[in-house]
Amino acid sequence: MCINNCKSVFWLFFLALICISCRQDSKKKSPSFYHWKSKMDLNSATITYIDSLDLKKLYVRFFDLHWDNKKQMAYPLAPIQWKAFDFKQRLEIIPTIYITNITLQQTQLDRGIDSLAKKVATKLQEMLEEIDTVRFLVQELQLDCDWSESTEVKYFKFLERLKRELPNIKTFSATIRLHQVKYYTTTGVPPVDKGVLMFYNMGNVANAYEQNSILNLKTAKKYLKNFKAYPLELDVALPLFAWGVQFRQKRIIQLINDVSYVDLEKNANFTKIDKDRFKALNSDYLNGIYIYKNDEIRIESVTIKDLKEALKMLRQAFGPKKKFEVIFYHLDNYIIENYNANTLQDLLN
Amino acid sequence: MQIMKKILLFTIALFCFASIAYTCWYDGDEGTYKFVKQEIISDPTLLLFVDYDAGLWFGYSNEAKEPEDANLIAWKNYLKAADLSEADLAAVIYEMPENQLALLVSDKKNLAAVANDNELFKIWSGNKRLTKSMGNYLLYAKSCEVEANKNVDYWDKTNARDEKNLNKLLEQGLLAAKGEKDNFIKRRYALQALRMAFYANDYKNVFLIFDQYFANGEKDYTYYRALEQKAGVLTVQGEPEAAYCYAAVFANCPDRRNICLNSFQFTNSEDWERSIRLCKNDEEKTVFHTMRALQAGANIVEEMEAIALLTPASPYLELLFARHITHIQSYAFPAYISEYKAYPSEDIETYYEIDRLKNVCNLLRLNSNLPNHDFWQMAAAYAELLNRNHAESMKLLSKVPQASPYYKEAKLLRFVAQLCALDNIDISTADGLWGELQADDDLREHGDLQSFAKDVFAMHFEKQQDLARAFLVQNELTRLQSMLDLELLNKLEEYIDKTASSGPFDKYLLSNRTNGRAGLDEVYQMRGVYYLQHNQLDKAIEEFEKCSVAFQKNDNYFNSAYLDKSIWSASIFQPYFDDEIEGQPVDRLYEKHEFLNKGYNLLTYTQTLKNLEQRAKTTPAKAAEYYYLLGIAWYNTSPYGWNRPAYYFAGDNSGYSTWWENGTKYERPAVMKNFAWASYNYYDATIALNYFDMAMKASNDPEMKAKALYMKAKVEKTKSFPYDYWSGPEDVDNNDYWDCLKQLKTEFSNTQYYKEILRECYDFRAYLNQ
Repeated sequence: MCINNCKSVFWLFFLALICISCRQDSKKKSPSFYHWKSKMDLNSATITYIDSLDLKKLYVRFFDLHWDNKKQMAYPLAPIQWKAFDFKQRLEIIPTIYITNITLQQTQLDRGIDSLAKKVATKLQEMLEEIDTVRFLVQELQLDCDWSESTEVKYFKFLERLKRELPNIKTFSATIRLHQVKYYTTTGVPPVDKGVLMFYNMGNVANAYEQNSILNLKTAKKYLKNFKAYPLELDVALPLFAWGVQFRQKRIIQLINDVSYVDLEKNANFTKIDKDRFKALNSDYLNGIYIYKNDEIRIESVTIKDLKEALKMLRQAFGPKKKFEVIFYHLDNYIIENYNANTLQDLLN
Repeated sequence: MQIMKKILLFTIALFCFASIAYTCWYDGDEGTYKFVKQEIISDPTLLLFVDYDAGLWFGYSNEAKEPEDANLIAWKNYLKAADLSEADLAAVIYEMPENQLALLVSDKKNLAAVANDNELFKIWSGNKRLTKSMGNYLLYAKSCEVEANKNVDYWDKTNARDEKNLNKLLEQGLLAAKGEKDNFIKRRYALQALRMAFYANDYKNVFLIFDQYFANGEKDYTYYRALEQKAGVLTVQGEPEAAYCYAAVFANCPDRRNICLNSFQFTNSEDWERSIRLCKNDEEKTVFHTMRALQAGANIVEEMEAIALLTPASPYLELLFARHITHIQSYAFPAYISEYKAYPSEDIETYYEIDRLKNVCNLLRLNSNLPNHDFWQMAAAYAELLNRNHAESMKLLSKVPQASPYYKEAKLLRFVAQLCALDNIDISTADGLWGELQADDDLREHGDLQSFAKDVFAMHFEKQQDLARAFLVQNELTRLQSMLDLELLNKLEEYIDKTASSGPFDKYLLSNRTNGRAGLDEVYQMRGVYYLQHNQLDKAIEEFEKCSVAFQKNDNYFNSAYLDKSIWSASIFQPYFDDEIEGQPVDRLYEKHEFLNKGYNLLTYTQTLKNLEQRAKTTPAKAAEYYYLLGIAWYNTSPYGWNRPAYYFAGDNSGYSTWWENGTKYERPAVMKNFAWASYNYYDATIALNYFDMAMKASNDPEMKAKALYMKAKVEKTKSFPYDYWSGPEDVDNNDYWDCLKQLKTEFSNTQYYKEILRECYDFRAYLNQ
């Protein structure tokens, strides 16, 4: 009896331990991601990676809404080509549409915006029909637009109309830039259910002496105002990407996507001239771009330390009670190769 | 008031956002002085590419610079009808529906009925064979166009291309091409068939049709359109020959250049080498370098160097020079400046590798075999100017002959070089340059040059502390009304008073900016207002009295309609700033003081303020009331109060509101030209506060004390609003304001006025309910 009792106590203790650990696991926050490509074609390494992160939400760029100058009409640029993939659990997909300012500038306010909202709604519904609703849940739509003075009225009206056209979408969210929080009384607040603060691209990328324009916390500090007063619920998008900034004679030429520090370190045509800067030894093509001899490339990326500091700043700005979702921009091989899944999870917990 | 202020501030804020550095970093075209026009290039079909924005994946369009429609020209040449308008051709080829056209082609009666509507129909009416041949082809082409244009409707996915129909059209086209005797029409059928094969992904047939109908035929428009389709297939197949084909189309089909440029892509140097090796001569290689030079991120000078060695007479070199200069001008000669710098800026040398540009231009200039020698003479001079070798630049420009098409540019650039060469400016130099600038029609009518010259003059005069000339060359004298600058006013007085308008420059300033000596009246008035704003009444009166009798009588500011008896009125609530105060239920204080019951001008108003002060000092029994009236006057004419624009509160915005400087410190704009944007309106809330304090101290009457205290509270509450764009009544955290309300409650709750406040003032009730 006594032994039996001891055994029971042991098993009860063991079960309790499992339960506690399970509970702790279930409390762990997982990040969400943006998928910002024109093809949804995840390789097995990516699927394993996001499975290990216990990913629950994926914000997927469905298309860009752009303006065709010749045809004088808005059009969906590069709608995503969807290739089915399997996760271990049902995944929430948040279709995201990027809208260029020129599209809004060129679209007429009332009838034009109405008709555009209808077209976008129809296009989106067509695209959603191709998605397996057993595997994927869609209940939110996100709009991404860096609206300006000239487009604010049209953009907000577009959002209103789109909501009317898509009654099945439960939540509408919109991306918000830092200055749009600080000066929200003048820039306006989009008529949506929540916002996602884009906490990146805050430095001066054109400045040859800028250290890192993707995440420049010194600049960010100047904009951390009005977070508590901002009328929308805000989640936060943090950067997990790298790019090369091409300079010639200290003048910016262009951005080069999909190029990392390691790529240039391995490339015999480049010599390292500073911590994150490389110089072209000869004129040659790099990722389809012709780089001239002596052109310099500054590699910009984001460290875990910077992200930790960014989160600390954001928590201070929002106040201790505010809970926000973190969405990383953006899911690709670069992240898998450079950011360990556990490290990302630790960052949020 | 608050709404108005917020609208204004909203505009200001958005204006500021426009300058957030990281939003855009590409070359801006606006706000730049341009001295060389884009049309200097000798081949007008290349004009589109002078400021072509390469790398825009959504395309580039500039209808004004689009070359002619080569397709219509080809048809026109085929028809040998010089008088046939392109509009008539386009109406049939592009616009007429297929079924309508079919009725005309099949029935000559129908055709005869519309012959007078369109020149083409007239030609057809007299040529049955042509009607059948061209008409049937156009009907077929319209069917093909329907299929080709599918997939282009982005919103309708059901509008996909029909492969079966594509194949049917392909067969039809090949059959018709085979049977057609007219070679032009035959090749047109073949081209349409080739397109259908391309859209059907039938690449084998694309090559077959190309080889059969085009490879060995005439290299006309149809040939290059077919070659472009072939290049598309070669691109899909990853063949380096694709770039070679695109380059050939670029060189020979002006209206397809834009499209070909977007497809001219390489991923590595090996592919480039393999493609360029296909070139049969230096002209073809030149096209390769030109196309690379037009792409995003290109080093134009390096590509120019390569072309200069291959084909120095190439018109592409002119294009690339014009393109590079267009970019450089936006940096070298910015029109919107925030500080004075020498022109062109030193950065230009390194950013744009001006030295290398100069070398290329000189290499071409010294090549006596080139037909466009004058172009390179002018170009080399411009490069020298950008390199700040002003003397050399002027020397080269002086050699451009008067008969040259570039003479006008040379003349403009020579004047720019003269301005850039100045280390300082004395009045005789200014007279010389200004005289030349106004005497020559080309120089006088060039708006950019006129403005640039004014910038340079202002820069040197300001550096030399000749503030009056620096200011006047950029501004009307009255521009100072919105930013009263005492030092500048004194200098202007001296300048207007003592300058003899003998030379052309001073003559211009005095006649166009100050209205001659009449400007002195404006200076006295502005200086008077300055002292009035600072409550230095004696000095203000002295200045106003200096104004001529005619000015005192006629000037609108001097006799502002806002300077009337209502300035002495008061109310508990804040009157609406855009309504007449007298139209509202207010306390008309002037009614008790007959000497106040009248209209004023600046002088009499200031004298009345002075009079009230003196009376307050000499009649203690009424001192409180006089101090209270003074406080009310300052409150009513201030932005924290009724904001009545009785004197220079604003030169803009209908006189009701203004752009307040954020802070009390006055700063003259760093650049004289920016006075046009500057607006600084001094006010000092302590003047009214002091008067209300003095009214309280001088009175034993609790009613008067309560009135003065309440007015003081109102000033305390709103005094910071004009400085703070973002605050409204909800943001008031001024302890002095709350202290005034507290004092009203504790010390004056038994007064009649207190009851009026309770009845009229929502804020006060809210305070009591806290």
